[in-house]
Amino acid sequence: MSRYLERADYISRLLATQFEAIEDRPVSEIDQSWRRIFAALNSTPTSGFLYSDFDDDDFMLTDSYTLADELTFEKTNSNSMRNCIENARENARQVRFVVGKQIWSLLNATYLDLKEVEIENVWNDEPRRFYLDIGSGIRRLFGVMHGTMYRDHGWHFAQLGRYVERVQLVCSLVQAQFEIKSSRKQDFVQDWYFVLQVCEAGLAFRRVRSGAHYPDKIAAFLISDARLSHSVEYALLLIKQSLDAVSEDQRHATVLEINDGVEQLIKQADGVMLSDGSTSGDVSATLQDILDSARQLSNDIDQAYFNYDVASYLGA
Amino acid sequence: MQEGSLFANYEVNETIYDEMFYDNGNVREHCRRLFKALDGFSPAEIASMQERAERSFLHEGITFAVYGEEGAQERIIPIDFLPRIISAREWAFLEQGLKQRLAALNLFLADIYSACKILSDGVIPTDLVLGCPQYRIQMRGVQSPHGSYVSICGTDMIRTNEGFMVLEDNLRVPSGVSYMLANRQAVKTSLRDIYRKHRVHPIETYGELLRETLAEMAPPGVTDPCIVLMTPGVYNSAFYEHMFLAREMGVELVQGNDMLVHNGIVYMRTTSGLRKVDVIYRRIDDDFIDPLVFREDSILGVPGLFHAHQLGNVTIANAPGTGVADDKSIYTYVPDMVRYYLSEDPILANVETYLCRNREDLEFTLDNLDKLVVKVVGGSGGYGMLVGPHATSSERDAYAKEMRKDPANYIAQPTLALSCSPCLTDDGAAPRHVDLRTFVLQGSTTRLPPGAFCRVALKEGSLVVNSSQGGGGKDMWVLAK
Repeated sequence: MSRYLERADYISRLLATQFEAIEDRPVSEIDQSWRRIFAALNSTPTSGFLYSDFDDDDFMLTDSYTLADELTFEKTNSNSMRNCIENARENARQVRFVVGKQIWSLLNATYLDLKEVEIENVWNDEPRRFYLDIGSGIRRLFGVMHGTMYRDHGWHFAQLGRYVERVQLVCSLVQAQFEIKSSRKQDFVQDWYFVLQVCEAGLAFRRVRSGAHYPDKIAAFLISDARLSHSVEYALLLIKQSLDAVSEDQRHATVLEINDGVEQLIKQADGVMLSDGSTSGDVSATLQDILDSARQLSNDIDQAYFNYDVASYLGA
Repeated sequence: MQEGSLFANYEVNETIYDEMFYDNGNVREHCRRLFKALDGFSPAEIASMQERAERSFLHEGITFAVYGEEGAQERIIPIDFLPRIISAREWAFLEQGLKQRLAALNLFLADIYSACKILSDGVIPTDLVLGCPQYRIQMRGVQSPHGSYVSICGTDMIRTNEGFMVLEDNLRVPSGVSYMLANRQAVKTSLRDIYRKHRVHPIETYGELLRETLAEMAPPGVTDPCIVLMTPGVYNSAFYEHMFLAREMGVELVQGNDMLVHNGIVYMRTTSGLRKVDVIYRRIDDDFIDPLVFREDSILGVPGLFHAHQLGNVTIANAPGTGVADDKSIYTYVPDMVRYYLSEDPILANVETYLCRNREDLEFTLDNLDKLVVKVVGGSGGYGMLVGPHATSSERDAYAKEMRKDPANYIAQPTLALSCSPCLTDDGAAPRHVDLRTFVLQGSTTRLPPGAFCRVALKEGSLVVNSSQGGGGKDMWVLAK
């Protein structure tokens, strides 16, 4: 459940930021930004990229309309925001007996609200406000979960889902940004600020950094600063905390391997940033490593705690 | 009744028992306070409370699914906001009768799956029981803790001018209790002052009572049993209720693939490994419990589960094979069961029933189709039923043709004038037909939560109260004194 919600929240922030850009950024930048969004979500638009004529604003808006629809409402896109919320609701339905009434009602209300809306309504109203509202709704839901859920395995697996997803999403976004080749320095800096904004990190970054904001510094901040709730390291630390809790009463080899693996990832993430805020080594390669490991981690957790071989428990 | 008030247009039908009014239009004693309080509201005020409650049902997902309706997977059961009141004296009578009835039904089940004395003594025709599709030969010799084969019984009651009568017993997987509790919560919240003044028996501890009952059903020697609720899954029409009850009891909600049987012991998968299961409150039909014993194509069940039950290592509640006792033909004999096993006169009457397997009854039924309600013996939910007076002659002809093909598959009952209770309509309060489903729990002791799911036929003149057929629900208040 929380994994899908994390993804929906992330998409809402990607799109809110994008719609802010649409208001005043050059067409070429917006086009670039759509590419980054799809790359960050590890997907491509169903229709392929519609290469816009950079001098034609109407053409660009048509593209944006279609692409926003695809990421928000498209039924065939498993990563669309509506599908994510529907999937979260389906998951929650299966475990409703441990999910409080308040959590369910909030999630269900978000689902029902979204069910009634189409891209046309969003487009003709205030798109940015729409995405911000959806994001706020999801974060309110996380807040209620945090404030009401009993800290048993149910809670910790919800945390694991959420933060494993976060690691993957942030790594993918930063990685996508590395791959973008901006032609002008000005755009380059702007692009990195887009990434900070999506990660709710703009304010924090301005507070802790001074001088020139080299891309590597921003990347290092997003990966290694454990005080930033959307950093990779922060998410990994919470993953470790929850893994420690769920593995408390079963210290068999598979579980220990998973826990060790996460400790390694934390060290890896931590090692990206040097004491002066600059980066060490090949950041992109490290990111890819962490991303691959995070994907594997999902499968390993599933095998260790859900789809395990019962023979070992039956002594067969 | 004042103009513009809720009851301004209420018309009492003298021939039908009205839960709130006497024939002459005077308010029954135990309803006077409620009548006075409700009449202070305008229909619009009550309608607004009702709408709010229904919206909250939708948001909370207090829904059910109607099979075969595309796009209508989740529907709420409409709530009528005007409570029905049962006096303390009436409830005491019902309680006595319902407990007596369940005791007899459990003795009957214990008997037909062991010595079959009631059959050899000729009280009930042997072929009716042993030939019933719900009779599970595999249950022969299987004992249930405390002799309780039916731990949760949903009995549908109606009231006519002749008094209360049992319409049917639901002994397999009776549902509706979550709606009883949801309706209470909604009405209590909106009409809190009125509710408070009425000294209504609370029903909110149902989950606790159910858990205690199921704990009593644990195999001998198990002191702190692991109880689970087994559901067919999210697509089942009553999934909301399964989830709700698991939450109220604080037990795990499991599906077949969450459990396994090893050496006759049932385990469930948990995130901490396997855990032994002692009691399964199953909300899944017999056919699907165990593919090794019942339907082999069942993917909802657990292979070996029935064997574990036979060994007494786990208790399945309600036990498989209880459906034989709620078969509509065998229903006719429940008063005889009471006399036979308890040597008492039945407190609650049955509705007069014609068994079409008997030639005379069949002829009578066919001759009087326009006056009778005919039901399929193994049917439920109002499906396959003919309400003679409301059917067209071609519908009756088609139904009669089907009946002649397999008469034993049908029973007939007179079209009863179910009692009416005030319900909110566009013209203010108006009488609508109601019944009630009580929930009796039997472990080592018998418990009857003081409330019921009161079902209401929302369409004017309709006698069909089933939620799957457009019926709704209303809160029922059992007064403490």
